[in-house]
Amino acid sequence: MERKLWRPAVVLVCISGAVFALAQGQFLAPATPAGSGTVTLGDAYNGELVFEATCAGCHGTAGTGGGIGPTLAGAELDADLIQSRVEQGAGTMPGGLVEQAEVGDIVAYVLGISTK
Amino acid sequence: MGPLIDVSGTYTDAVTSVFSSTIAFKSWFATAAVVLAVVQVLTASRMWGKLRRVIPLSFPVAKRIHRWSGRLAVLCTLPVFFHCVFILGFQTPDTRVAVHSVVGTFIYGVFVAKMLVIREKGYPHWVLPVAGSTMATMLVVLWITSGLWYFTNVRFGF
Repeated sequence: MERKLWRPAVVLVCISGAVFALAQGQFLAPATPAGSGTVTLGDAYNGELVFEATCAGCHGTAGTGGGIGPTLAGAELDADLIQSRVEQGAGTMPGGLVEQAEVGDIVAYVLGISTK
Repeated sequence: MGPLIDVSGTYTDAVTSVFSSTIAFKSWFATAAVVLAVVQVLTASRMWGKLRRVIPLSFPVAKRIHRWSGRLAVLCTLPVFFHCVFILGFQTPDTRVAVHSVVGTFIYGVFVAKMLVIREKGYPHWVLPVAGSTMATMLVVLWITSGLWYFTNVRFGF
């Protein structure tokens, strides 16, 4: 006799619901480090993606250097300085390489790697 | 929330001691899971009497490879699951991430339902291949919207 399919269907729904609930909680998401002054910090994980795509060519993967830009990892930068460099540029680095909506994300990421 | 934040920091430190970033780590583990999923599909096809000329394996050997590749694939997905669910969470900022979030939400449910179908006899003949195919397709969709996207749009490397 063929089994009814409701058992695996119920299991599927229950486990998917539990995963969705856990994902909504983001229980281990790191706290956003405090900004300073007018700097608003965004999503460091998105900042990581933007950094790897836009900045790593000069500053190295994860800011570890190796390109024409300075090493950022461990450089003890503050949020104001990072935001200023991202928006206005410095030296050979032009400003505005990152879309304005992602500036907060990249500042959060660079702040994280620079204070490690 | 202090102790929980430490878990995240410890995880990130451990991962970045080997990989350049947590995202790169996830991309490579997802890639390994997808490769193993291909092995799963091929060995399952052989077990169901298909691809005999392409995959010259006996049924017991194909079955053993199928089981172990499945176990390894699930193991590869666990750290990815941890990062996606507990750190990043369910997000829908754009189509790629939304598709990834929705499919990712269901994949472990499909996996456990498939395991249930395997353990309990008496289901219709078509249920197991449909469950297995669904699972493999979901893994491929998850990889396309994460690992492949990362390698082609961000960086190809460790």
